Amino acid sequence: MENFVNLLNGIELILDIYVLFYCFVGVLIGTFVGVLPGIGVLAAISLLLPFTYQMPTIAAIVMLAGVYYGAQYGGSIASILLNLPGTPASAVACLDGYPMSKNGKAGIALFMTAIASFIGAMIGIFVLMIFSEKISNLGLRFGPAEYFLLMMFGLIASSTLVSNSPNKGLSMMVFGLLVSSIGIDINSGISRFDFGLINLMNGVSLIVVVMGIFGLVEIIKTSNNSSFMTSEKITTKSMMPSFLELKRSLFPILRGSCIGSFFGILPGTGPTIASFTAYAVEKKISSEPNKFGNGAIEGLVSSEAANNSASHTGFIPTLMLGIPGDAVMAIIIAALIMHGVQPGPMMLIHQNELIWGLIASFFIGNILLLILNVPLIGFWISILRIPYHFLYPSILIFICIGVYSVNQNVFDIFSVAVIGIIAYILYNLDFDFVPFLLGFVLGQPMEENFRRSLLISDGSFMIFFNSFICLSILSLILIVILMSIIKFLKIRRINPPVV
Amino acid sequence: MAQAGHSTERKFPIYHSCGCRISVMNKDKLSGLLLISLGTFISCYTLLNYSLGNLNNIGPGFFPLILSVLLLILGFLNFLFSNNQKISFKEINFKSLFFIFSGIILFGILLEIIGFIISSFLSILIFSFCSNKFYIFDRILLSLGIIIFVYVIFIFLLGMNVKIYP
Repeated sequence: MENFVNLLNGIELILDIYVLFYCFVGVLIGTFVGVLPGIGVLAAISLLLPFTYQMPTIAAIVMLAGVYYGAQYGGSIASILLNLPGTPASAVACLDGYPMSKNGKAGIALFMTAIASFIGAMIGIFVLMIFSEKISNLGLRFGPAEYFLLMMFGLIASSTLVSNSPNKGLSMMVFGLLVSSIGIDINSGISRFDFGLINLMNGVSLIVVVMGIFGLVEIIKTSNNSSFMTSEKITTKSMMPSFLELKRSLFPILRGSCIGSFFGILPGTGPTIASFTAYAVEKKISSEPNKFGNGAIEGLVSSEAANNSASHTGFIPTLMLGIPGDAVMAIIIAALIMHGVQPGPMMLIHQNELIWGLIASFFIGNILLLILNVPLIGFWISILRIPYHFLYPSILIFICIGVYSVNQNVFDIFSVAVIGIIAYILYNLDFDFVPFLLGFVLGQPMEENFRRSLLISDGSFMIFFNSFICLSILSLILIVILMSIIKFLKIRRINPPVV
Repeated sequence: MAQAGHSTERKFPIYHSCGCRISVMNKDKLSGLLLISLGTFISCYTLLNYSLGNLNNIGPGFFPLILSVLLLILGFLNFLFSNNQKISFKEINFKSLFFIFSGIILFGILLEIIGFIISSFLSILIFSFCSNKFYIFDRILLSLGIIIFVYVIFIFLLGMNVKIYP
């Protein structure tokens, strides 16, 4: 009951025309970048970060979150029509969505994904409302040792489960932790790894890293493309599903939302894992699994519901524990810190208004998205006709000026170029950047918690095995490591190694 | 033609077991080598420059040392358990890489010397060379269009503090 009073307060806060406007801008930009395969959500959010400096905290976070879940809606459009996933989480939507559109059912596929996304998001929001207080209470009982282990769990889970090769994912995660240690060490005051450059003494800025990695690499890859043409014409009439299709998708949507909510709450696993798992589950329990991959509506709606509910429940570990589930959440944590808000269990007490305002904005944003995605679908499809070679030079100059505008420092522009080249080389060696970014964001809090726990225990490592919470997190870590070893062996069986 | 013949030859596993050139061009082996050298460098640098401290009060070098040793181990794992995937130079977009890099560097150099408008005009012109869909007139028109757009957003709406004219 108390939650609903809080929610009403949040809605009251949100109904300020200013915040409402930023919520709308957020979901609009989110859908836009989701639809276009050339720009990722990460690049879009990091491009918007410099703009949020002057905004009030609530408006900034509402807008960035709107980009995030708006892109989950938009991402499925390109997947269904062109077989090009706009976001990694919507890659699953290609599997059954594209065959559906080849069978002339594109309208129905688009309508059902919008509905599935909406229901998934609503269930995710309810889970968020119910569980955030519980998780925050749990978080209050955590000491530095528990935090350290939980961060380790998040990092290991995200780097082994998402990327193709667990080994490379872990290497990138460790590399991210190392890059985060550049700059002045808080405890000793010594500037580490600055190689004599004064500009490195403050550390590498997150905006520079994200723009170099997720902005430049994406553009270097795609700048040869001309445009993403589609000849589909979608009318509102062709979008109406039959009663049978509605009945067939109801339970997959509900199952997908539950799976998504679960994976969202776990630190280290985000929408991508959720949507793949939901698809696999649906395929396993289906009575006709051979239809999957040839336009089975169950697989499409369940994975879409899963990634939307996961992107909402993902705010639980992000806000309540300060541990991000995926790269976007890592940027949202950085944005909160920039605005002087420290994410963690104390947030529900000190920043009560902010949290409930954010939750209320999810409601409003999702309703806006439903309106944008069903009656206005034709507009988004026409966006796919914009020639890409007009688009990418503007994104590049936006990156340059955006990076410069943060600190008014030319060094940041050079760093973006250098990081972009390094990242492009690593991309060509099949490295994955999500573990890197999580490691980069969690590096400093992790080192600090590690030091603090050893300080408390007077140098004894037993502090990491002492409490029940520690032991349960350790066993979770063990399970994840075992799972990744099994996955590693499976991959090697498919692609036999070179001796 | 010669290159195509070369790549079909490599499908036979017998060619993989001999010849060091192939093993260097293997994606996993190369990334393993990269990680090993990075790990070695960072661990040596840490040991030489930063103190490790005691266990009850660890110094600035402790955490980086653990991490770099981990990186070293992971590099070895990458090198030993490598998959059969070679770098394909056809996939690498050298042209875009070159134009984008030089455009950004030029922007950084010129911004505080000749101002925002001319430097972004030049950079957009360079960026547009990544794509060969343009005629020269299109490129100039595009650059002017983007500059107006960027000027309105950053200078007019956000009031960014930067030198605008030469």
